[in-house]
Amino acid sequence: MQSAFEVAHLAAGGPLFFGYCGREREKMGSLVLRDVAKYFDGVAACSEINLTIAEGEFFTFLGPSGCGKTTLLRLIAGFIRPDKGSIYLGGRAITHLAAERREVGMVFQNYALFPFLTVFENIAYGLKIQKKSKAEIRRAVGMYMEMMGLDGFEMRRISQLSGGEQQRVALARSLATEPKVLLLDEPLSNLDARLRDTMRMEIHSLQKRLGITTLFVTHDQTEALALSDRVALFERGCCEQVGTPQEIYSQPDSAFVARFIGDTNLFAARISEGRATLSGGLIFRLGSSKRKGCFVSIRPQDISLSMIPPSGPNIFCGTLKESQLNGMWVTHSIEVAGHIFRAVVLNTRTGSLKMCPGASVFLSIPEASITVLMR
Amino acid sequence: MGRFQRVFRFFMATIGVMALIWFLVGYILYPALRTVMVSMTDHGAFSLAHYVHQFTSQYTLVALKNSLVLGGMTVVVCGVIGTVLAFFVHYVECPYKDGVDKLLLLPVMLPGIIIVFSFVQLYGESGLVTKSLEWLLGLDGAPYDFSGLAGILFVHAYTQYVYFYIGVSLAIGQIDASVVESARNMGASQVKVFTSVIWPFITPSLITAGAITFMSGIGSFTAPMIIGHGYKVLTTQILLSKANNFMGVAATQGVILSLISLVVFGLFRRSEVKRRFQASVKGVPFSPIKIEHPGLKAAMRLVFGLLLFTVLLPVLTLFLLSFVKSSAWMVSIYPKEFTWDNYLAIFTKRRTFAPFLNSILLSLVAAFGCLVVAVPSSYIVEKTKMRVKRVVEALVMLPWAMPASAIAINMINAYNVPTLFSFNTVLVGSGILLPLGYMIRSLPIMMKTTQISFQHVSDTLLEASQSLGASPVQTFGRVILPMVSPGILAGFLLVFVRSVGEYTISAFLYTASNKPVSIAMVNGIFEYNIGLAMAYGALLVILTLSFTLLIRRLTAKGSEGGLMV
Repeated sequence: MQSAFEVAHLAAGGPLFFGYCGREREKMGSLVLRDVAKYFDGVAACSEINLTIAEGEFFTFLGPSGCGKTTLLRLIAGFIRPDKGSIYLGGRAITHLAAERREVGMVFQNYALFPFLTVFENIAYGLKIQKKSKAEIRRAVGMYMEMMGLDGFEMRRISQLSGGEQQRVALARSLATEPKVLLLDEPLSNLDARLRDTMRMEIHSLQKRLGITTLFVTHDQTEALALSDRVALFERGCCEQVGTPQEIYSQPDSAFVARFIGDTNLFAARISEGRATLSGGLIFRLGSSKRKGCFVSIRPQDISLSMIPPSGPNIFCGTLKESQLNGMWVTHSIEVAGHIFRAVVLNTRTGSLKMCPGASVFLSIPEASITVLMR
Repeated sequence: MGRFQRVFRFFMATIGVMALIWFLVGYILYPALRTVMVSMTDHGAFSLAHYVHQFTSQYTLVALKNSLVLGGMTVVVCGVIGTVLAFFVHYVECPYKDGVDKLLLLPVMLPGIIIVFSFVQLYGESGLVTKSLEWLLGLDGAPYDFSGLAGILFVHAYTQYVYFYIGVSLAIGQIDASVVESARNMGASQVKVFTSVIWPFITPSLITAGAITFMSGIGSFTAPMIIGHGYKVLTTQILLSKANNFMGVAATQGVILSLISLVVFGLFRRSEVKRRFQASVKGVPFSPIKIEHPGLKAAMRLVFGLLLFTVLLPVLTLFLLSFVKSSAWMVSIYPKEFTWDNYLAIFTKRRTFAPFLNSILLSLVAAFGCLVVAVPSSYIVEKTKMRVKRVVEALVMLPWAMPASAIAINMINAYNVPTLFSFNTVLVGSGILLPLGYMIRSLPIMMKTTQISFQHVSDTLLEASQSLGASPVQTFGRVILPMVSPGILAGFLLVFVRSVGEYTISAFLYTASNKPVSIAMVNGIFEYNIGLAMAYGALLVILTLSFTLLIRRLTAKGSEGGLMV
């Protein structure tokens, strides 16, 4: 099935998105945050934030609730002012600029559509503020409505729209003013699971086509990994790590990042001479890695299981405690020397292990898949 | 430019807030304090003589006791009636539920003076119902005495059950059906379910309604004034003291009445807070119990029919009697001759039209005044972080705790001498004091209405507007105003409706130049010009009800917009 965007794009046959594609380059926005900090009642909502977001990048602020990601977004939008630091958009300092003069579009978690206006009037709102001519407004609104698959909804009231439709109107409204940066504050959190997947794909393809710098706030790691060019992971007001989704996933900087992104087996360990020693005397060989630290992280899919002893380093024999079927894969919990390891195995008809709790099983962990973490 | 604008905006905002606080202090706090001062002054010196005198005088003690008894009994009578009605309409499946529900709210919308006079015409010594019963039963005199405590209570029962009815109806709507089902599932009988689940759900509402009813009961002036006869209460004593120019006495009585009102309200409020609870998850709405038994169903319909007839009767009587030829209806029990003369008189004679016009103008001034004060006040309270917002809220809401007669006395005490707040003029005797009184009385309700409107404007909507490039002024004009204007207009009309037939404050503050229609009605009755008085009443009812319908439409629209956000 084609998405609404694709239908619109095909129907228009090419230079549909002249709003962005035909624009001069300097209108686009790279965003720089330098030493930005914000305190509420003496508590840091975010501190020492230094980020550079390139033009056209899809950048995600990821983190648990209360980690400061929305505060940072609101600092960029201009709804609150930082206590320290500066914010630059397209090379211009906007730290003390009023929100309405920043050319930053925002889609709110609850969409914040004006309930007393129709769909058309909602999308036209920003254009009217910009004092565009009626013909221009009609053309631009029509274009964005078509782009969002909202044709025929012009005169609808917001109360007559479904969650997904409201989401599209909110997006169209923000894009219509042609902002330099688009801010998305957990825009998918109010949608049901299926619609969330569809909208995720639509936002992704829309962003790629328009090439607009986009900041996306979410607590959902799946969304972050699927959508982003780069991700910044936040905890307690601090930026823990910045990187591409693959970097963050495969080379986490800290135990927090390893735990937050994906599932992992995390153990406190003593690291010395290329070996990690866990309590209970369990020892991993780390190969040539010289990293220092006090934790080791092993992704469940990196652990191979077999009923007969395999060859190689890091082979352990354990007892199967429990198996859980998740559809596509099976998660096995295996106890080795007092530690529980979780390992996932694809649930294929031929390949999956058929084991009962209590069975003995061999674990094989490649040296390269053990990540040593400092904190 | 930007900095200059910011400084200018800050400067203007400060001036605006200061003007607002100046008004609130001058016309709400200062008059109240002035009354306290007057009550504590005797022959120009500080003295508690008035209080000593009041608490030793037999007259005042009786009036005080009567007021308390009246307040207490009003709560009991209205509590029973309002609660039973609410259960009838909302707990069991009620025929024509929506219509019945709206009709039962009717009494609270009508000006009190109209209800009192309709009741007098129905149940008074020579009332239509009284005379009919006399004739049917072949009695020599009236079968009951419609005056004193019983009469007042009868009127209160009719007008004030609404507080309980509204409160309990809302509470029944909030009963969580799944909680009821879980109680039944654990083996509770219907009775046990009622006492252990339903009752706790409605108790907080009962207490709130009780507080409001008690306050309006002891503050009631119209009914005791017109049908109280020998039953003296504090409110009527205050007018008497004022009429005899014993302002110190009137002030003392006003203070005592306000204090009782405040203390009792505080007590109720405390016990309500203790009992209030919040459901942890969104419940399943309660659906009314179906009545299957045909006999029971028929009985219910009959009871409802009678009830609605009773509710409508005073209004029907009012309209009927507004066509009566007063001179021809002195000798017979029922009026026989009907005419348009009463209405013609109002609209063609200047002297009779003046009170009607006065009331409309006075109410418009009051409503406009409320608008000017309540809109910025509620904006400050709801949408700003100004430090003065608690002060503003407390000052605006203060009159809510004061009976109308106390408000009137406060105004007289404050403005019978030139003050800074009145630009060095004496306001007593001038035409402005009466609309000011109306305004102060309705300010809290206007504040509540506009506050709710501002609550509906969520901060994210304002931020959305800002992020789309709108300046604060543009956001105000394009987002805030469209969202709050239905609520503000509803509040404006509500103040108008509450003021246009107002009697208590009118009785204290009217002058020859601005005699309102309620006073003209009373005069009409005492001059035996019943038809004219009733025609005034009928016009007021038409005005009140049509505006009430408009208010309802406006608020329904407003809340729809609000719910969406």
